[in-house]
Amino acid sequence: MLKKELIELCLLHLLLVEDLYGYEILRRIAEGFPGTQESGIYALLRGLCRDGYTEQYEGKISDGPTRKYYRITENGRQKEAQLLAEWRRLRDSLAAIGVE
Amino acid sequence: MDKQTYFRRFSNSVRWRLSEKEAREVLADYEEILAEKPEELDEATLCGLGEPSHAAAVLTNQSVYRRWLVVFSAMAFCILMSWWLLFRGGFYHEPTLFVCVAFLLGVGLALYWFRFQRGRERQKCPKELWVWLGVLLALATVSGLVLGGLVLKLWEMLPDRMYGITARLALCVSGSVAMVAGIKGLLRARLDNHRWSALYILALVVLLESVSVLALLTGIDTSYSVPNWWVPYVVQWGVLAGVGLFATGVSLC
Repeated sequence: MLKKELIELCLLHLLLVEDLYGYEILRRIAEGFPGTQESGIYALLRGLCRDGYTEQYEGKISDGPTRKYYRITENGRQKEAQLLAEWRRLRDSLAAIGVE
Repeated sequence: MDKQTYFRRFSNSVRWRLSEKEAREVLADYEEILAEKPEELDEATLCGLGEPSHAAAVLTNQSVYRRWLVVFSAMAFCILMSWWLLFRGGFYHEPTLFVCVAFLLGVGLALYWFRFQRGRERQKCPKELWVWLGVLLALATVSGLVLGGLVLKLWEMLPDRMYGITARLALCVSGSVAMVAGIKGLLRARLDNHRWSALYILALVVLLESVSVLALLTGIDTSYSVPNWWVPYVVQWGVLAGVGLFATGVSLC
């Protein structure tokens, strides 16, 4: 599983929990993956949107400004489950050979 | 680099590389992202964001972008080819076929790419575009005036060679202005507003008429003595100009 897929898993997981706007998603992911360019993370987010795993809408949460929010789609939920299963398999394989 | 400069450079790269709809969505996101950054972007922030051109490049769907580059090259070739034919000089009627093919190909590609493939989203028509369209329509009348001079045998009333030199100069100047306007229309249709493709199409009309009339002016046609010899030319160019004007109208909608 490549870093790209791990970031995609994190992006989908974040959106599974709640709808978020672009900057907030980048900020949270960039914290977890220091050294990764925000433009690269954003490109992955756009890629997920282009492939129909996420979608954009204009929204307003509480008293904040109107922003373009991202939300996960049904296809996105399936993709997240698939990536998560893959990640667990990989983690178990690594643990089995003593890599912690 | 300050935020405005970064956004301007990024915006140009994104509009050049992505479709109109996708570019709008990306730019809306980046406006928010940059709003959270300090006014003057320091080295670390720039490193995180990536250079504007690089940040746009990683967003690019390469196959779609390559297709755009091919279409852009073909459209630019159509207008530059027509302009080159205008300056070839000493030709007979062969260039009219080439210029007709370039015209139809350019119009077809511009309509396909900027009008039909774009979807249903609409933008306001920029005022500057109307000014440019007015200039090109005025230039389109130059070919008509030169042809009218031929029909009326104007050269018999003017000093020796004056009509020919003036007509040629007028056609070359109007064709050159049309070429510059056409390239401008093509670039702005991609970077700014799809309606600018109307300028590109109208520029092709002006070039088609200029090259055709110049070919007639410099060609050796023995049918000049026949009454109404000019009617078939006017009908042929009128039909093509009509197609061009219709396409210009469609691309403005």
